[in-house]
Amino acid sequence: MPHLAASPTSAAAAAPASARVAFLRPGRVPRPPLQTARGLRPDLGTLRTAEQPTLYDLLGISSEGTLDEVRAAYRRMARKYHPDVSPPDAAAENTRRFIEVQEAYETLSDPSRRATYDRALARGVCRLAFSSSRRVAPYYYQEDKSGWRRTWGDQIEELKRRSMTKDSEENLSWGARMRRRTETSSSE
Amino acid sequence: MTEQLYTVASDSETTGEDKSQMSFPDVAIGIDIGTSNCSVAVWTGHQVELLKNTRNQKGMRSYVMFKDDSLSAGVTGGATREHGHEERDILSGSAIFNMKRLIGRMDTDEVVQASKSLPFLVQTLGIGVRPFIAALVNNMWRSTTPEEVLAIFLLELKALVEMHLKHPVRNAVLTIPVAFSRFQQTRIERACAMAGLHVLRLMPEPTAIALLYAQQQQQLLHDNMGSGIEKIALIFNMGAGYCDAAVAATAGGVSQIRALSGSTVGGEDILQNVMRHLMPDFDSLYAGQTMDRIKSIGLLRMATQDAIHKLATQEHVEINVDLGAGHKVSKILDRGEFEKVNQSIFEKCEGIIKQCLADAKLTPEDINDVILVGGCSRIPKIRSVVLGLCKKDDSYSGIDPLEAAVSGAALEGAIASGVSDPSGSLDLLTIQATPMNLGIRADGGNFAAIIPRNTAVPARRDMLFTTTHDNQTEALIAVYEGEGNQAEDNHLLGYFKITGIPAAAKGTVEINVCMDIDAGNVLRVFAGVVKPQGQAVPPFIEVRMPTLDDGHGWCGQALAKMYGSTLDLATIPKKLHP
Repeated sequence: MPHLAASPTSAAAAAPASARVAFLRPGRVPRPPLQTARGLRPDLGTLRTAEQPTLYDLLGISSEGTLDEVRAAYRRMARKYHPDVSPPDAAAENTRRFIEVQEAYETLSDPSRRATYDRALARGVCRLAFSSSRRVAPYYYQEDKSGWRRTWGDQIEELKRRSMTKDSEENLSWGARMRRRTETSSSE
Repeated sequence: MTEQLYTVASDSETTGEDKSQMSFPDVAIGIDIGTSNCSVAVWTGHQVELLKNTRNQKGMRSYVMFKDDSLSAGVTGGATREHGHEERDILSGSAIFNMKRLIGRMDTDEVVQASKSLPFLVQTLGIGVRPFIAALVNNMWRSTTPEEVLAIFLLELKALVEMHLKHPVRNAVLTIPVAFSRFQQTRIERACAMAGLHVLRLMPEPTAIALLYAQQQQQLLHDNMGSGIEKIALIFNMGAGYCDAAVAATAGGVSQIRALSGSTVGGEDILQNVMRHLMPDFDSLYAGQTMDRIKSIGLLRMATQDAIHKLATQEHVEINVDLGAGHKVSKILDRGEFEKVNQSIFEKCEGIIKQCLADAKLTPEDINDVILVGGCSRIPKIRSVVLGLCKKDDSYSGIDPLEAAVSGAALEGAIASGVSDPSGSLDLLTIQATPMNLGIRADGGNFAAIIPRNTAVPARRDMLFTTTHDNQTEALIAVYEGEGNQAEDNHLLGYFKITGIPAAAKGTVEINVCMDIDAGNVLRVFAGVVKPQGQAVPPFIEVRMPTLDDGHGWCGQALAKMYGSTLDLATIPKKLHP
């Protein structure tokens, strides 16, 4: 039961407290666009449009948000999406969203990772490229080209899509993909 | 074991508890099975209430008595018989206690080795199998297992709860030590299943306490907005078997666990150290369990426990006990001596707190409250160590040290059961964290962590790997949990093979290994080949962990011996970000 829904008063009360009222979007929830053109089940997990949500969008704050605002936004989103407080029928979808929000929070609450992300965002390069998880040891690198897009369900969907388009440009040989990846890396 | 009928005392024997407890039939109860004491609590509709047994006790001893062919647990303490169990009965060899310390451990474990001096029988072979445990029944040792003992105990506890609530109970939230491995957690769940209980959540003890703290902070501030003032608490919990630490950030009813750390030391270790200090030839004197020795150990144990309790409020204590066979202890033990004998334990406590602060990237000045709970939190040295590290003069006083964990578990039970409360007492959320690294073996014998320690739960992380041999078509996924850099230093949870990898030069095929922990803390591992070059690939494999049941110490060695490096995977290096 959604007994933790944010009340209008809390949204109104939060706005005056911020010095940048115009940039705050409390309660705004990013909605991925539906892609029904392929005639498939809407692929909510894989965003292919130019307007991919940024980590700030996932948390519902502006890119100028302070660390306290990042934390507060994280808590608001956690109250919406954590499976412990989710309606049972929405638990699966909300768990996925919670994991996305968690990854966004981890990046934006770490000043160095946030600075790296902001620089990439300013260049318009691969918006979610730096939302990879915190590294445990320098020896182990986790490839995470697009953060939450690397989720399990997304990869299954991607595999299905690729199998239907055998001549797709993305089915390049390994060497071609490596060369393309190198070019992308050098441009960062 | 023959089927037993468990009789529960009638209502007339419960003084002051005649009123019926209003409750929701499907709300999960909270259970705190401590190594030495347990308690149970339930959400009554507007608050958490700890239930009392027929002796009017909220804290009940954690043991099962096997005497005279009948079983009775510490829940009622044998109150249904003519005489209740006394301490010397519990230490007579006929009772099994410390089951929480023993559950899920192998006989090479130092905790199991230390348990061989207990009155009941603990035998080990030292080869990585389960220890042999037995209770003295009619002058014979009768074997049992910690899971069985715990199940009997839980069955009696469940009966107690159902007597209070007047309806069947099915779901429970149990507290566990931070240091519990997934293997041990599986054992707890199995014992609960044997008792007819479904585990809704297993909650690390400091996490349960953090939830209670969050509720108190929320009520203090009357702040239901999503953005309240954030308070950071360091929670230190030390009971008879384990000590745990956590850093929790709390605001607006959301309790976020920033760091968890735990160790397998507790009051039992302190007790053993002092016993050996009082009786230097303890180990040689008490080798082998004869009736006289069991009785003698019991006497020494009771005297030592009593002395340790008194040292919490006294500077020194006098110990006089006749152990029989010409052995006597007559000594004055002072607090300094006590602290010296247990210095290594206090250093371990210090270590887990420092690790917690480091993991949370906090300094002592960042901590708002220090919460000390557990029976050992009354030891002056423990208090001074914890408060000293956090640079605080006093600990948080709003939480009862012995009731906090079970109260938090009952709160979590209500929240996870979907209960809503108009007054807002349940507008709470715990964001739990994983206490240990989770990953697989890769690059030879190294451990590649995929879900690192202190990752928020639910979690899903994946990692790309590649083959290590030309035309390698199979890969072994060995899943480990722990803190070591080498796979073998950690707990092996399970293993499976990926087959049908396209034959290609080594390092060209990409294999994805994904780990998923759901809200119920269930771990699943998915693995398979990704980005095929136009070739057909087999389906991904999904395995729920742990898969191993016994002898997981052996299994890791057998896998390495059987397969060597033929099925190894390597991590794929990635350019470091600036």
